[in-house]
Amino acid sequence: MNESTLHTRRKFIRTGVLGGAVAWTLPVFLEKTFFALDAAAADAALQTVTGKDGPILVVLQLAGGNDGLNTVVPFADDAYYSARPKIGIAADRTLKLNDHIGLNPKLAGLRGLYDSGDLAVIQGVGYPNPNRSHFRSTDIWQTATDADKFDRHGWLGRYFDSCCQGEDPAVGVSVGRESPLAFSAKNPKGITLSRPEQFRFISESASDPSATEDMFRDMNAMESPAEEDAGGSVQSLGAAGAMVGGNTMDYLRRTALDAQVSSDKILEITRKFRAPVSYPNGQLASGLSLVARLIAGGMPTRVYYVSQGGYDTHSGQAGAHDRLMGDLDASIGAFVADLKAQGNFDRVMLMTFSEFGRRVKENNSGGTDHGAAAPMFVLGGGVKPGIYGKQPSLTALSDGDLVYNVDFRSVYATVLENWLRAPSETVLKRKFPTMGFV
Amino acid sequence: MLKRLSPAQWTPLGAAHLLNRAGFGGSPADIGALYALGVTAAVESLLGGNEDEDLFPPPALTGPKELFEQVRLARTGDEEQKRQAQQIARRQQAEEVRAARAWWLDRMRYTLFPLREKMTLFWHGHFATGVEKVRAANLIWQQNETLRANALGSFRSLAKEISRDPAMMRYLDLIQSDKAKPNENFARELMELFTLGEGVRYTEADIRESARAFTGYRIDPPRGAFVFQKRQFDSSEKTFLGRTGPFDGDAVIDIILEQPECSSYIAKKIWRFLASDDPSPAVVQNLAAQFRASNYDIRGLLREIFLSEEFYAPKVVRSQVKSPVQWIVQTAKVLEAPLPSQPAMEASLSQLGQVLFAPPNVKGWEGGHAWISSSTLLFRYNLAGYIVSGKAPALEGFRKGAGSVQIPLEKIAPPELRADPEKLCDAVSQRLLNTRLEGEERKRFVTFLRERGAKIDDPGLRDFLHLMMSTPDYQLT
Repeated sequence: MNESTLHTRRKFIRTGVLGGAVAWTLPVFLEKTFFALDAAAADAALQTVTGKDGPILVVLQLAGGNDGLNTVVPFADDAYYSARPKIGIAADRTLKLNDHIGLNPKLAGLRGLYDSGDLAVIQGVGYPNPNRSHFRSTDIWQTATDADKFDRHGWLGRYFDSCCQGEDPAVGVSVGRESPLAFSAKNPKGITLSRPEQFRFISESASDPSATEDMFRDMNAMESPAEEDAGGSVQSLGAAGAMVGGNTMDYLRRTALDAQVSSDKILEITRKFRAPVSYPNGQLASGLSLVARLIAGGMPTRVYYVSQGGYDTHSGQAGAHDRLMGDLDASIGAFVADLKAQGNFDRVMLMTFSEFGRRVKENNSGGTDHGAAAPMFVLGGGVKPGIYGKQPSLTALSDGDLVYNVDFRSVYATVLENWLRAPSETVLKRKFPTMGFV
Repeated sequence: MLKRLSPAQWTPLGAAHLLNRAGFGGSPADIGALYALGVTAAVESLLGGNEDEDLFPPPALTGPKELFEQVRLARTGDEEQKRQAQQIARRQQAEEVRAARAWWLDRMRYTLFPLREKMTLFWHGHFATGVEKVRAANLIWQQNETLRANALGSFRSLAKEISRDPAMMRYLDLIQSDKAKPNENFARELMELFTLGEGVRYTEADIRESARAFTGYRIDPPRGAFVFQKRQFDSSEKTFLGRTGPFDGDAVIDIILEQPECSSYIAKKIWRFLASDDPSPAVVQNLAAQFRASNYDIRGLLREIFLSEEFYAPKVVRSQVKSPVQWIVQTAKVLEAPLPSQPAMEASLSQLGQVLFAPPNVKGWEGGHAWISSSTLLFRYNLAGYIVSGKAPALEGFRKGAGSVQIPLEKIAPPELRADPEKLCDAVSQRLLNTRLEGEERKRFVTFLRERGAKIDDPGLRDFLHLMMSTPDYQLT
């Protein structure tokens, strides 16, 4: 690397992060990569986004196994009340969607979205041979594999691998402490952050923070000589967009630069953009508020991942579950209002899922144990509203559990094909029928 | 046999490479001592270890019998009592798993037999077993001891021991398998992941047949040990990989080990763990042939790897991404510092994606590039900052009780180096990266030091260490 490229690079890294408008200057070798990928985009199913348009998916995990029957209540079915004498929700308290089902009384916001044509409810979602372990079933949902198969990579990771090669590393953003298995990819993409101010190189504890910071930027913005000589990373990207024989050092250097670029972007955006609406307290709300700020700031992120925990309601469910529903509803409500105020509601689709529903019959502790099929919510400006799938029978059970009638991978396939415009068969490794909610 | 490294090719960098890969690296003095032995004796010293003196008192864990009692108690009384008893037991188990993890990390840091710990780590990823399903710290630790005892022994014995290992039996449902309803989970993974590779040689029918051979495997709860229940065993004939007989589990393992693919699968995986991602077919063939000929002697295979010229090839040396465990233990060793506190290590391994005793699934950790994402890379940099700062962490997740790490700065930079930026830069890069920096990078680090004044003080040295650890380079070993 000669002095002048070095100089340019350093200058970029120091100053070029946000040049007025939200347009990032890319380092030369990344630009080269994008250029080559653009040319190859036709065969490689690659997608390029600018952050200002293009669809965005928000995945919201209800961790612990959400009780589907008290979320979307089949109030017209006597079997519901006889299975749940203590925790059943009275018909007149539910927010009726039709003559058979009603939403949990705390889901008034979602009910509003249903009325305004922005919410789809998908009933009876699950998969064959359901597993009742939190860990295992979460893995199954995250990898989108059959119940008896394991995969190291998540369904969103496979989407990044097959459609987002060469794109910004922040193509996936997960809010929380750990990256979900769903993001796990052959070429790891996606960033994890709970507090954006910590997604950066921390130099304050240094005795000379600014010299340390400068030096850090220099040391992490170096191209490997081989990259320049060989035309850079372009050549190490194979036809399918995968890194072939990718030199580990190149990979590390690229990731180091990626980390700096996205860290700067995220810090800048979170400093600059403030939520135009007020959010309730709580982790979910603050996560969604962060997501909304990143969307407002034009992050080139395609998938955001947030989660809400506490759904493992083995006992004393009534109050606890209502609180969770209330938190969910209020958080989503603020998020939707925020997106609408930004003018981005039509670009965003939010999908909820939980690793399993719960048993039909309540247990002796006023709670419910691990079950199987449950409903999912999909909402956003691009949703075709309505109720999809069928309410599973409360009497024809399998092992005491509801039997699914929609494979969750059909929901994924629909989101991939019709929302993200991605080849679902490549990502899910099999063809699943798509549904009508997008 | 692979071509051996000649004594003339043996270098200090080679010795450092050997210590990094066969163990968790070491101080400049450790590397110097290994280098002085010459390649053959150096390799033998690692293979032989210092077993008798390598004593670590076991972690204090609830024994199988007590645990069994606890579980039994947690099933009596009314719902509220049950719940409370279960909650107490769960918390205690979680605490014990953390203790077992800290115990192992400490052992990796201080062992006199690093290769044994390194291979124990390999086998943990290979026979991956997660405590979330095993639900007993004692059993997972017991498995760890089994892996350790067999880490360099016979793969045949190891595979058989693991099939009878209570944690594994729980993890892959062997304990629920009986002749009426054989569970195929273990049989499938035995071939797919533990011995042959997916779809190699075997069919679904072979899985079904071999599952019948692994029936009758039970745990005797009060002892937490394997017990064979003949009544549950399917003693009828099975046809497995083309052979027919009333096979039991051990016989199935023996038949699998007759397949040449088994030796190449294991040899290749070990090479990838210790040396490089993409061994040539010739290397794999050579190693596999010798592994098979030695009746699956792991120590012999390791000797072959560590003595080979290929292992010291420039494309192999300093080309491996450190796993999070390697990063943390090696950092402590090269800095001649203690490990971070237990809470700091817990938080770090979870953020970095390698929680011991909790691999993501039965496939273990993917490793390599997968260890590095923009988030984990930044976390590594900030973890380095925390370790060398000697202060409490400014990082989320481990403020409580993480404490600080004491680094022997005077050892890393004795007074005579403090006023000589070039020498200091070389000494520190030698220690951290096993090699001197060259060209532009060295120039910049030297300039950085120069700008810090005529004599580098401790705070300046800490910044310097942090920076050199916050580079792509430091992530490699």
